[in-house]
Amino acid sequence: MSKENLIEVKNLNKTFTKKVGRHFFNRKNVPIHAVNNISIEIKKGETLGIIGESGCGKTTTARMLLRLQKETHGEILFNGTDLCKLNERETSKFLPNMQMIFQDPYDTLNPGMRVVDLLMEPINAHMKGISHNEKIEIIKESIEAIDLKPAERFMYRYPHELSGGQRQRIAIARAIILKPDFIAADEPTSMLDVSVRAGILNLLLKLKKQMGLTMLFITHDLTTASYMCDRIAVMYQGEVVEVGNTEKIIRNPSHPYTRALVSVVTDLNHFIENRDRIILDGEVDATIEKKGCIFVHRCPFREEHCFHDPPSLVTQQGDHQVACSCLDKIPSGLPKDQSLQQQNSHSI
Amino acid sequence: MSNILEVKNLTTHYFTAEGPAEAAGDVSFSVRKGEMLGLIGESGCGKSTVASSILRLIEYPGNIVSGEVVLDGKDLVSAKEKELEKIRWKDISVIPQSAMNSLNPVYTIGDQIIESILLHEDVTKKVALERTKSLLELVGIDKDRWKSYPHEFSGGMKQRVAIAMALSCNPKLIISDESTTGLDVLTQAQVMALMKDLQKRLDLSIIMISHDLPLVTSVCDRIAIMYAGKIVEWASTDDIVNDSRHPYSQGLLNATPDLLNPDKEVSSIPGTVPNLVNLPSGCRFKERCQYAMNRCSEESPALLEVKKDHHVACFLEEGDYRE
Repeated sequence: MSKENLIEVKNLNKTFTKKVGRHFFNRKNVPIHAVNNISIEIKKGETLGIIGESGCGKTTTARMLLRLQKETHGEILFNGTDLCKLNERETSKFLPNMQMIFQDPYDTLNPGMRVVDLLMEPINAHMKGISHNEKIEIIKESIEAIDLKPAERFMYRYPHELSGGQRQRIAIARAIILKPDFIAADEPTSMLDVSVRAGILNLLLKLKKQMGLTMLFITHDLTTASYMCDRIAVMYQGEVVEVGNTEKIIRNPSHPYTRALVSVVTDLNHFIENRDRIILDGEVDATIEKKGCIFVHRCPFREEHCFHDPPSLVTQQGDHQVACSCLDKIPSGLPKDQSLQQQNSHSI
Repeated sequence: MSNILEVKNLTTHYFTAEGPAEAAGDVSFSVRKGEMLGLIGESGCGKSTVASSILRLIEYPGNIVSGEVVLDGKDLVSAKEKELEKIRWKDISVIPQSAMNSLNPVYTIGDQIIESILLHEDVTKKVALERTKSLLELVGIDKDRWKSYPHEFSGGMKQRVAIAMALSCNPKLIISDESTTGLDVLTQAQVMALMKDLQKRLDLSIIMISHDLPLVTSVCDRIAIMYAGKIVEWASTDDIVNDSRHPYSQGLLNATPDLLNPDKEVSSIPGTVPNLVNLPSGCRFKERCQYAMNRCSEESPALLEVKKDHHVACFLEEGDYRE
């Protein structure tokens, strides 16, 4: 494991089973590969974004990293230690180093607990031997760190007395109160209003800088990813299809799926008239048996061999990796994309 | 171009235990023939209330207090319930918020579309079935699938069925209420492209209600932005994106990251939406507005046309305050 990586995931798999069949005797268990042999690295101090549609396995990956879910097989190296081999007690020692921010701030906070109780929980669980007053001090500090000032005004409130944005801030405070090295944020802004969203994103950026956090940022929105992430990994049906520098991928996507994703982003600069969108047919279907490339059923560039041999992630330039065996047939850049070209010439 | 729908000074209150909540206050806008109008706002700003007011489907304890909704020369607010029954779905149809759950799971989709045609038009079942098939083809579904049940379709396909259903009686106006929220990005793009294509081909008038400004700018011709029950700005999409005048619209634009320019710093709008029951006097945005002045708390700004087709409700536009 190289020194600059905080987390290395190697060949991680998660398979769920689904019961199929109505009658007792012909009932079968069908495997569903939620996460299929993925390998990613997260460097110290960087934000890695995981992009994908719902059901592509991005949340499952994060949950496995944080040991909220057991993997089917694979390795997760955190600072050189394989988390998958630890037993429960050893795992709990690692947990203060890694925390998660969940999607829905209306669901994650216990409605019967005040803010101070909510924040006391992680302290009681992981910080032994400090007095009550010291604990309160830590809680006050963390509430002020998330820009809810003065802390006394918010400490004794119940979640229903807070707005959506404030709740998400409390959820963030719960994640940072133990001073972790690593935070996984699972779509932290998708449930919030637009005018509040920016505040949460900026708060996460600020905390990352102040505390030197390494972050895994899960989102389905490329625009948010471009604002937050240094690198992104694009997932499709449990597999990583493209990894690389965010700006490079957005300006020059290589995998057919990423190309489609980038082309349909609704962004204030681009109007539908002056852009050729790649509208793909079909939808994600997790039950299709996968032999070759996972994207083959929707890929406009597919060839005969794509149905049989699955491609693996191949490094292109620098750390840009793509899992596609037809790359040389795909034209570079997006088709007839005037607005993108104009943008490019502006920035150069 | 002629207006197909005109909403004039529409005010709708919800009479709650704490007092009347003004979910739509003095809302005026119009939809032209063949136009896609975006109605944008955050949750709780009254955009769905406006939609249900147009259809007169406000539920207890809500009620339309004053105003007019004129569809093709006919006022719907004063219309009788019997007349409304003929107008709903025949003249104004809806693509609902969660199309996935709005289909009846125990009937085939063909039955459901045929039912809506037979209710409003005096045709035989055979004709209705033929029309159902052509509607399904129109939205890109194989015409033989009219026999399928909703659970046999994926989310995006159900959305297409809902669109086919909304088109079933050749309505004058379609209201799409957050109809792509909850769909995947690529599916959303498919559905949006379909709607834009149908709008152009069939010359449809659509009101698209959404909270997603970038999405709406990509398909709509004009956009009305709502805040706390009021329309604060109403202009062509181009003007909203490049020449927005109201501080709230500017705030929304600043809160949206730019895909190709990640260094653009986004900023949120400070403060929270006022309580609709105890509305502050004057402008409803003044507590979050950086340009707020004394006049803002004394009187409420009216929606004025500052240039052709560009309406703004802000005192900044009346004088040279900005300098």
